Amino acid sequence: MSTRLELARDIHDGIAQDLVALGYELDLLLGKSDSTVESRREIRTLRFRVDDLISKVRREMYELRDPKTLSLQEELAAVAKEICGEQLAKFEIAQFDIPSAIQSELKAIAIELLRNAKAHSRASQIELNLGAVENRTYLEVRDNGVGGAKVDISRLGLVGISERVNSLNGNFEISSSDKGTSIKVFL
Amino acid sequence: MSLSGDTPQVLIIDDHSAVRAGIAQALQRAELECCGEAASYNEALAQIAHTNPDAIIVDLNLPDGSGLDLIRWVRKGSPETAIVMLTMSDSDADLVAAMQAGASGFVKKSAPLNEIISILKRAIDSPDSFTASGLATALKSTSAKNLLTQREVEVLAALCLVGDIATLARNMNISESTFKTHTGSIYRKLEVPNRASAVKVARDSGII
Repeated sequence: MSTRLELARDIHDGIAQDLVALGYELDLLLGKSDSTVESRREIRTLRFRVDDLISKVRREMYELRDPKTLSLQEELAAVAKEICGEQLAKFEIAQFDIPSAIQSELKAIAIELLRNAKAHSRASQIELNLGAVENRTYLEVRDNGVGGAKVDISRLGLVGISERVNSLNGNFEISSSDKGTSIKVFL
Repeated sequence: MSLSGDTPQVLIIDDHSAVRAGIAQALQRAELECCGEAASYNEALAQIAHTNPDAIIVDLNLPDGSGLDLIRWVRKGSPETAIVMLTMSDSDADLVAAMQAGASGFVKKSAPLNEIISILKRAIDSPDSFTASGLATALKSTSAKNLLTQREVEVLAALCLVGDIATLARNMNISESTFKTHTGSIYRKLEVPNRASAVKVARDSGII
C-alpha cells in the first residue's frame, strides 16, 4: 500500500476513534439521572448522528484499505472473458452507478446469458453490452450463432432468466434468427 | 477476584486516550474499577503483570501488536480472566477469531457504552463463555465461506437462479451427475435439506 493511502487511512482511523469517544461522552450524558426527557431526546439524536458519521468514516476507510475492490462492471468484464474466451468479440460496459439492489441479480443473469450463448449458439462472436437508458439498466448479450433461442420449457435456462427479470419488474426481449441471437434485459 | 474486595478490576487496552477515558468513566458508573490503562501491546503486558486484572478490554489493533495475540497470551496463563475484544471492525471473521483466541466477548467500539458494559459484566460473570451480538450469523457465514470450494460456490450461485438441475449443469458445461455431486456436498456442508434452504443460506450469509 502506498504511503499516501496509509496516511489517508490513519487520518480516517483517528477521526473514527475521536467520533467513538464523542459518542461515549454522549452515552455518559444520557446516563446522568438529572437530565430531562427533552434533553435526553436531543442527546439521543446527537448520538445517532455520531453513529452515522462513524459508519461513513468506516466505509471510506474500507475503500482505502481495499482500493482494488472491483466494480460490477469490472467483475462482469472479467467473467465474460472467462466464460467466452476467444469468442468474446466485443464488450461495451458503461461506467455508471448500478443500483445496489439489482447488482447481484444482474451479475447472475449476465453469467447465465453468456453461458447460454457459449454453450448453445455455436457463435464465433459474442458481445456483451451494459449501459443505462432512461434510468434503467440494460444488459444485452448478442451472438452471431445459429439462433433458435426462445423462452420455452425445453430451454429452462431462459425461462429462469425471464422469471427472474419479471420478478424484478424488468423487461426481457429475445430476438433470434439464423444470423444470431440478441437477448436484452432491462431492469 | 482481586485483592481490593468485591469490585472487579478492569484493565483498558486501547491506543486512543479519549476512548479509554470514556470507558473508564463508564466503568466507574457501573461499579467496576479501572485498575489501569495501556496504550500498546507491550504496555499491556506490563500492566497485566503488575495489576493482575479480573477483566481486560482490548482493542484488536494495537500500534505494536495484535489484540488477538494478547488475548491468547492472557488466556493461556489465566482461564478466569474476563476478556472483551473492543474493535472498530465489524467483520465476522474478526469476531470468530476473537472467540477462537479465547475472548469472553466481542463488541464493536461504536456500540453504546451500556452495551459494552453489559458484555463486560457478562464476561466477568462467565469468563469461559462467549458473548457477541451477531454471533450466530458470523459463525454461519464464516464457516460456510470457508467450507465451500470455489467450484461449489459457483454451483451454489447457479442454484440461486431459476431452472432445473439439468439445465444449470448444462450451462456450466458439467454433467448432471457432477453437478449433483457438488450440490450434495454443498447441502451437507451448509447443513441444509434442500435447494431452497441452500439458496436462503447463500443469500443471508453473503456467499452469493
